[in-house]
Parts: sequence; C-alpha cells; structure tokens
Amino acid sequence: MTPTREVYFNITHVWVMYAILAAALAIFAQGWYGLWRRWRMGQPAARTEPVRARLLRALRQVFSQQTLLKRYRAMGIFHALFFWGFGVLFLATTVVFIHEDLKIPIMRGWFYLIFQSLIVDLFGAFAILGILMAFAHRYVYRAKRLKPDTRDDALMLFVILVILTTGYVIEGLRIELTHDPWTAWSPVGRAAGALLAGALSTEAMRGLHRATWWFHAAVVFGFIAWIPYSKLRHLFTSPANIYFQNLEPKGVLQPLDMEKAERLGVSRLEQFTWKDLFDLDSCTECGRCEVNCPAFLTTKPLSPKALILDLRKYMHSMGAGGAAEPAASVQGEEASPLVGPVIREDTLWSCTTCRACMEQCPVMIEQVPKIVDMRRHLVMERAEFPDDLQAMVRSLEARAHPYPGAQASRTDWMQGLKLTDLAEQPGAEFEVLFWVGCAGALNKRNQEVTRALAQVLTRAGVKFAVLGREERCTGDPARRIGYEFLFQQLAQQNIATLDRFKVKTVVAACPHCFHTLKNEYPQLGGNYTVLHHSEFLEKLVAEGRLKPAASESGAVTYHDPCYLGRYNGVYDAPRELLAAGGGAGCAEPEWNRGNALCCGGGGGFSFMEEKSGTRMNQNRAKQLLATGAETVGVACPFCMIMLEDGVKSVAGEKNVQVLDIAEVLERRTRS
Amino acid sequence: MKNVVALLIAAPGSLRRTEAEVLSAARRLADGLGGRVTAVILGAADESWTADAAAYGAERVARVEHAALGSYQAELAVEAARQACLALQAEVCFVPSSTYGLELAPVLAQKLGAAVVADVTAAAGDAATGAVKITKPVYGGKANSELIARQAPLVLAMRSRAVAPVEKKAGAAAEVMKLDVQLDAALAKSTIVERKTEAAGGARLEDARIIVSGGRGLGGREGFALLEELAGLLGGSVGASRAACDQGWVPASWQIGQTGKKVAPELYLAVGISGASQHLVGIGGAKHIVAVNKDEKAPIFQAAEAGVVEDFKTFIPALIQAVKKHKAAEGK
Amino acid sequence: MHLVVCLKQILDPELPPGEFRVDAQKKEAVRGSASLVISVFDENALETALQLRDAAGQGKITALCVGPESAVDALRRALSLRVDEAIRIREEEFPALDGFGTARLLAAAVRKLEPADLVFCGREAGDWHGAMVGGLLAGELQRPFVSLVAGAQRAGEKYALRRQTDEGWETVECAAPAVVSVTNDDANQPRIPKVKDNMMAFRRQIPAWGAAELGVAAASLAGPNAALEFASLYVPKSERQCQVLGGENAEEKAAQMAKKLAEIQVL
Repeated sequence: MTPTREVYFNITHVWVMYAILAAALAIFAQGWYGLWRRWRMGQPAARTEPVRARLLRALRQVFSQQTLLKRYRAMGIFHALFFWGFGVLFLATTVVFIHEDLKIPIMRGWFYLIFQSLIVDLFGAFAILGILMAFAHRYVYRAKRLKPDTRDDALMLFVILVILTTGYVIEGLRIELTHDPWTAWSPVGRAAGALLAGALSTEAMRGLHRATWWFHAAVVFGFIAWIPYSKLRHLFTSPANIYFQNLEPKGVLQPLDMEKAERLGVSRLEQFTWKDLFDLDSCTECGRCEVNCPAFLTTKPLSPKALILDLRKYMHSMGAGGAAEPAASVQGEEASPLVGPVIREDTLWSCTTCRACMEQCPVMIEQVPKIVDMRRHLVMERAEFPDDLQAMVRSLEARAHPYPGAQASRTDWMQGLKLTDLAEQPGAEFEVLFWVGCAGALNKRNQEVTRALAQVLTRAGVKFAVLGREERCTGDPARRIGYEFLFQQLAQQNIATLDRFKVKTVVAACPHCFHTLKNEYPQLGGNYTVLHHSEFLEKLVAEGRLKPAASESGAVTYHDPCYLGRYNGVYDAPRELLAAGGGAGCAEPEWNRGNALCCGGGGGFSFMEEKSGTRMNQNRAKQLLATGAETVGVACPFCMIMLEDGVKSVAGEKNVQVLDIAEVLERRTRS
Repeated sequence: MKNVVALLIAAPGSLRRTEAEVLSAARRLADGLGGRVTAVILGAADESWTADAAAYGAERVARVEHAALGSYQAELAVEAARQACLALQAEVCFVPSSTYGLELAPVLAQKLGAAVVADVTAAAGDAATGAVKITKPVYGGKANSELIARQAPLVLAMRSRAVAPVEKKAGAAAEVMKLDVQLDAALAKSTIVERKTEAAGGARLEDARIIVSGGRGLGGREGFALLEELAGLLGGSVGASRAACDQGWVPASWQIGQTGKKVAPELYLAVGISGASQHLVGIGGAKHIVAVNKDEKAPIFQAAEAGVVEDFKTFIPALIQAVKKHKAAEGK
Repeated sequence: MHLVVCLKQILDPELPPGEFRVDAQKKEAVRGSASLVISVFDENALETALQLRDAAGQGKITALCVGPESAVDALRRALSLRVDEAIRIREEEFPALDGFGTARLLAAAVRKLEPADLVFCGREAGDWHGAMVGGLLAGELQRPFVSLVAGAQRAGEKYALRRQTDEGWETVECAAPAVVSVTNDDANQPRIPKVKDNMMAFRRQIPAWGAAELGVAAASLAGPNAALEFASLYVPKSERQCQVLGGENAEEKAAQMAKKLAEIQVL
C-alpha cells in the first residue's frame, strides 16, 4: 500500500470552507490594495533592479535569518523556529492544495512520509516552541524594546498558538480514527492522538475532529484576512523590503538637483519615495532600532521606532490621495502637515545620524535618510535651525569651517613642522594628500592629533602634502543637518581645489570627511582614492614602513566611530594598529563594532549643546571605562572632543587618557 | 588749539565716572596744548557738579540751563551744545562716551563743521604746533591707528573706561558762568516714552569693582548660574562676551567688548572666554585680569596676569568652595 | 512704508589674530585669504528692518552698499533675505571716502529713493569702528537720529524704537522720516535665508550708482575729517606674562586662585 491519507476523511460540505476562504482572500486583497495605493503616493525610487542580484541577496538574507541569529542569539532562534515552522506548514498546505484541488497526486509515498508527515509534524512543534518563547520574552521577561504591549500583539500570538495546537488535535484524532499505519512518521500528532484517545470515545473523537477542523479552518482564514490590517503584514512586506534594500555604499544621502528641484526635502508624506512609505509597513515593531540609539538612550525626544510608527499611523490615517491640508498652526507657503504636526522638530534635531538604528533593523528600514529629508525641509524651505546650529552655519557660509569664534588659523598646527603646503607651494610634488579637516586644524586637542599624524607620516617616508588655507569643510555637517545647498557649494569648491592640484589619493584624519570625500563626492564629480588614516597607517605597518614598539601602557580600549565603522565597515585596521608591535592589545567594550554606541558628536551634534535628557558622551564613556582600560583609543576628532569630556566627567579619580590611534602610533614609533 | 571744552550731559545725582573721564581727558589734552578747559554742563545737573568739574581741573564751568533741557532730548541737546561751543569758541570738544554723548557727537560735529573721532584711547596735545595726536584702535582691537588733527574744531569721544580720572583737587576754584541758549521746543523730533533700568547680575558693569564674566565656553544659561553664585560671593557683577549674549543666554546689556560695555574693574575674571580682540577691547581698563579656560592656548591668557586651565564646570564650584573657606577663615 | 538699510562689506572680523596683517604704507589691513562679510551691526540693522516689515505685514526694503564690485555679495545676501531692492554705490568712483563722504553719498542715494521712512545703519562698522555715518547721514538729510536701536515697531503714525542705554533700555518715539543706528541684541540676530530665496537672489541684477546717477561729484565729498592726517596703522604688541595657577585637580587650582584673589585684595 502506498503511504498517503485521505484529505477530507471526516468532513462534509467542503464547499463551505471554500466559500469562507474566498471571503477571507477578498478581505486580504482589499487590505493590500489599500496599502498599495498609499505606497503609490510616494515618489519614484530605483529600488527594483537588478532583479536577479536583488532576489538572490534577499533570499539568502531572509532564509538564513542571519541578521537575527547573528545579533540576537535567543530571539534569533525563536524567530528562526517560527519562521521555518510557518514556512514548512505553508508548504504543506500548498502540497495539499496541489494534491486535492489540482488533482495531482503528489502526497504519497516517501515524500508523504518524510515531508508531509515527519518534517511537517516536527516543524509545527518548533513553531509552538517559538511561540512559547515569544510569550515568555514579552510577558515573563518583559523586554523593554517591545513596549508598549498592545492587545493586538497578545491576540496575534494567541491566535497562532491556537492554530498550531488545533492542528495537532486534528492530526492526532485523524490518526486514531483512521488507524493510520504510518504513525511513526508523525510523532507529535501520534502523541496528541494517544492522549485524546485515552479520554474520549470514538464517536466523541469523530465529533471533536469535525468541530476542531472547522474551527481551525475558520481561525486560519480569519488570520489570513487579518494580515494586511496588522503588523502581520510584515510576513510579506519585510522580505520585500529586504529585496528593495539600498545597494549603494552605506550612509550616502541622495543629492538634490538644486537648480531643478521644486521642493527641498520632505514636508508632506507623499514627498517621500514609495520605498520610504513601504518601509513604514515593513516595520515589525521589534524595537531593535532603539537598543543602540544614543538619543533614545539619553531620553531625548527621538525613538527611531516611534518615528516610523508615527509616520505609519499618519499614512494609514489619510486617504490614498495625499496629505490633508496643513494644520492651522503652520501657515504660508512652507506650511507642512507632516513636519511639526506629526514629527516634531525637536525629534528631528535629536538624531546624530549614527546609523545604529539602520544597522540593527532586521528588515532594513531606512530611518536616517527620512530624518535628513525632513531636516532638509526645515532648513532649506523654512530656514529653521536650532540656535546653536545657526552660528555653525553662518561660520560655514562665511569662513568654510564650522567653528564660530575660532582663534586659530588652519595652518597654526603646522608650526615647527616641515610640511608641503600646497596653498604656499602649488607646484610641489606629492603622492598623498593629507586631508586635515576643520576639527583637526582648529580644535585645540585635535591639533595635537594632526601633528602626531603628520609626524608619523613623515617617519614612514610618505610624500604627502596638505591644502593649508585652501582646505574647506567637506560639507558633512551641512549635509547631515539637511543643508544640502551649502554642502554642494562647499563640495564643489573642494572638488575644484582637489582637481586643480591633481590629487589622486586622499588620507583623511576625520571619518566624517573620509565618508563624505569617499562616498559622496563622486555624486558631484569628485573621484579620488580615499583612505581613513587608520587604513593608511595599517598599510604602512604591514609594509614595514613603520615599526611600532610594544605598548608600554596598560590596557587599551577602542571606540568605533560611526562614520568609520557602521558607515564604512572599517573595524579591523584601528584594532590592528593598537595591537601592532605587541602589548596589551585591545579590550573590547561591551558594545563594539556595528553595535558601538555613538559618542553623540555626529549629525551636527558636535556643534550643539544637548538640551534635554542625559549626556550621550557620558553614556559611552561609562561603557569604555568598564573595560578597565587606561587608554581609550579613538579615530575621529568629534569622538575625541566628546569622549575626552565624557571620560573626564565619569572617570572620577581614575586617570584615563583619550588618544587617537595616530597618537598611539606616534608614541610607539619614536626612535 | 588751546580752547578745550568738556561737554557734560546732566543726569540725576552727583557727577559720575563717565563725566570724570570727559573732564580728565580734556584736562590732559589742555595740559599738552598749554590750553584751558571749560566744562559745559547741559541741563539741570546737581549743584555739586560745578565744584566737581573744577576739582577735576576745569578752569571755567559753564552751566547751560534751559527749560527745554529738562531731561535728555537729542535735537535739543545737540542745538544747545552747538550754541555753547560757538559761544565759547571751542576748538576741541570732548563728549561723554555714553549713549547720549555718542548719539550727539556726529550730529554736533556736522553742525559745527568739526572733524569727529570716537572710541579714542589717547589724545595728546603738542603745545608747539597746537596739533592733537589721536590714538584709536581699529579692526576690533587688532590694530591701532594714529591720526593727527591740526585744525579746529574737533569733536572727540574717548573710549569708555580707557581714561583714568585725573587726581581730584577738592576746593579748586573755577570761573563759573551761566550760558544762555535759544531753544525752540519744536526742534524736538523724538520723545523718550519709557526708561528701563536693567542691571547686570549686580552693580552697573561700568562701575563694578569685580566682574565675573562668561563666554561661549559656558555652553548655556546654566553656566551663568554658577557665575552668578560666584559673583554674589565676591560682591561683584556678572558680564558676558558677545557670543554668549548673541546666543540669548544672557541679556545684551551684559555684553562687554568693542561693541558692549567698556569696564574698568579691580578684578576681571574671564570664564570660558577665548579672548577675541573685540572682547579684550572692552576690558583694557581692568586692573587685574584672571582667566579660566579649558584651552591653554586661548588668547585670553595673553591678556591675563593669572590663569587656570580647567573646565569651568569643575573649577567654578571648587572656587566657590575655596572662597567660602577663605572667608570662613578670615571671619574667625 | 519704505525702509532703507545701509550695509558695509568688511574684512572678516573673525579673522584669527595669527593671520591678521596690516599694510603700513596703504594703511589698511591685508586681505589675504580672509573672507569679506557684511559688518555685523549692519546685519542686525537689516534684521531689525525685516522684523519691522514682518510685523507690519507690508512695506518695502531697499539695501544700499557703498563698496567695490565685491560688495554685490553683501547685497545678494540682503536680497536672499528678501529685501526688495539692492543698490551698490560705486566706491571706485569716490576715492578716499571717510565717514562724511560716505554719509553724503548715502544721503544722495536716499534722496533718490524717497520717500524713505526709516534709514537703518549699523552702530559702527566692524573694521574702522567710526560710529559716525548714521549721525552724519541724519544730519545730511536733516532728519532726527536715534542711536543703538535693537527693535522697531509701528506706533500709530510714529515708530517706537527700543534702544540700549547705559542703564538698560528706553523706548524712543519718533515720526518718520528718521535715521536709526542699530546695535546687537538677542532679538535681532540675523536670520539665515531660505534656499529658494538664496537662489533667486543669484539671478537678480544689482544696479550700481555712480557720480552720474547720484549727481554727486567726488570732489564735493570731502568733509572736516579730510583735514585729519592718518599718520600710522600698526599691530600693537602685547607681552603680558600669564602666571598659570597649577594643581593636580580643580580643588588645588581653586585654592591657588583664592590665594591669588586675596593677594590682589579683592577677597
């Protein structure tokens, strides 16, 4: 006898089920149609091609569940169990459909025994295990990031549990009633059947089977209909969002065509791209974006999760035709129904653009570009800035550096060093341009770093030059605060200067300059080989041009700058430099690499006073000091400023110094 | 040039430092030129002003009292000053470096056909040539300019607090005269409808003996609360740099510098002030400058006689404790 | 309501002292790589005028600048802040201008622009600190002059001008036409232009008026200050030795400081 089973052995009036299914599917389709009409309000975005590459990447990322498994072991296992359990059950249903409705008899033989019986039986159990873990996580351990708990959340988990358990009840009863000879292949179902058979008569079992079967079907169909109306929609939107992910270098903001753009930034929801709107419906409300958010952790008025959910709620509240008219409080041509009424200005001004939220988000929602888009509206269309930023912007406009009141000149740090300054010697030969950056030139503490780096480069025999007073701000702070216009002006001037001196390779001492020069200047026609000083120095050490001595000081820890690590994936070079020559090596803080906590200096924050909540730099300093290190290694001038201050205020009696990796190397290469 | 006029604008109470500076500048210049000083008192000032003007070296005191000069009104004050200068054949006229004096200076100069220079730090006379050498800082105090005036008339406004008052000779005699002017009340084109006194965190900054002052480095209003506590303890006033005022952390009237108040305290304690030249211009008259700054290379340390390199957030509370301790020890 | 704002373009006053040089022959600062900016109080003056217009809901603002070709940048900035007209007065046609000459040129321009209710100037320029042009301009135009204004409002037919005094503040009421000089306050910090306005400003032609347009001969501009001899311009040396009060921590340094304060007898 070929192993198989009768699909509707105990069920009559099967057409009723099909009728309910049809109704459920209609509701389901209606829901998706409504969502689709809202996404369609958005602006064009090139996020669908190349199809093959996107598909392969998305399938790999979705089916491996890698993001979650890698970062969140326990919850990753839960989600994988759940994901695979549901995936297999869905396949099993498809098999039934092919077998019964298409009348292609595939549900038989070894395939029936191994897949349809054993694997399905086990994965169902995995899914139950997953759901129980989810319950525990939410209601026993009460994970903070999942707050607030909604009735929907509880109901969803409960419904899924009901579907899974009633499935086993049905399977068990069928096994008992049909005296299934292949029960060895359905261990969980058999156990359930045996349990019920012990308590019930055959007639009762038959009745229970029929009732449970209908109940199960009704709940499943209700569940299906519910999907597009709840966050269950992420079953579809999350994988799709991963397909639509950004394939450009990370953290690159989209340029605006200043001449042609009709509007600058986003002041109405429909001015976001369709992908931005799709993001909103992809959110699973998992709250991971909050876990490493420096603003959220210091109780500033920004939660990346709330930002997305507020936007989503607003999108769902409006008709598919576009935004309602602006609230009465904002009048005039720059009135916005979105920026202010839905997303508060101080929320937008709380972001350091550190990308921690985007790094964490398992479904690749892009929070930072949305924040910058709305900042663009505030800054360029309304000319509204926080007070501190006004002074910074005015200084950038008048003097091309963001330090109002600076008493130093760009070349003060060079005193006593013999360097090639292209502003003074325009024809001088050089191989590498050392991009100093405004902080490195004008901030007192960072001038020391700049000198150390220049000395190390000299020791290694690098033929390098600096731009001296010809260097301008790369425009990074302008771009991150949304002042794209000023960014482009500064960038174009710098590109003209770099091209005039025929610069090919740039070594930047500031990760913000580095990121902007490397990844964003190509948008404006500036193409150079750009290295961060950690990469370049590591190369010099590897080539034997620098031979650092072993570290004499105690333990060293290292703080990953956002724009070096998360933005550009440079994690190892600075660590290798700290370990070069032997010595204590690098003691990792609890949060490191992609999970590193921002010092609080990015996105314009280096130029703003933190007006609310606790201090971001102190939070990070605490983590770094917890390693017991006596030296905190940094690789970014903003981190230097923020963390020196932070370490000082939390270190107490302990003497902890903050050093740039260039300074560490300079000390170890003194002959 | 021999005939030097010190123009004083009446104010309630006795003669103040502002007027003493006008008289002293005039006295010193007249000494150089071998000339004489006439103090012109516009409006109904206290009787004591006459004797005080004489004590500061005026050989002659001309009181211009007219019903229309009750309280300062720009057009009437200028017209009265013009008539007085003409009647006295003034060759050099010093005006006070006050709001009213500086408002009046260019208009008066124009009516007299006089050359006019304000914000002067030194005016030296040469008896042989009759010329006046004028020193005036420019470019926010980064440079000094020197001008030589050989022709009368000349209207000068000294920089506030840049002139140390001459020694006061009590009981010095002076010729006192009443000067009549013809004023038509219809000349007045503006009316002062409201006056508001807004003291800095203590005494009037120009008169304060001790000033604790904060700048951009304070980072916000909260920093100034610390300074106020310290100033209260020292019996001083609180001032600020332009950067701090522009940020709105403290009122503009606290501003010290080229474009704010010029001060001459015994002690100027600069906290979180980098010391841009525009600021140093305002504290040139301070006897002792002491600075607190995180940045050891801040230019304020070049102007200060003593300094502490430290974050004000940790230093000022410590200093408050140290001062309390010192006071307690003295109290015993 | 027609408001005229006089702007001056000057060498960036925030130029670090290390980069500041003077040309002792020409008796002026060396430009070097420094930027040119609108004199700070003139920016406050412009902002005060803009606020007055904003509050009134109507009115025209004209910006004037006596300066060389580069001064169009200053006027563009004013246009980007939505002044209605911007006019350059060709400084190159009038050599050796002093405060009197500048005032006469501006007066000629204002007469051409009449009716002009209020004329705004900064209290002093950030380079020479003459602090004279406002008053002289008022004299030329035979209008009342109110100095150190930080805010202006309409008060019926008149204007209420809030101005700084030695003791605090006072409000001066004055009928138009008048000339006011403006000082800085946190209430009149210059705004930043909207990008759209900024780009529009770049497309505007800026007329330049010279001797012919103004009907003023260069020779007629010399005022009494022309008789002053500009003897020298130099960077003063300051060699003050600062005693660094050291210590291991803030407490020790504070103790040192208290000692110092007692020494100089303020404690």
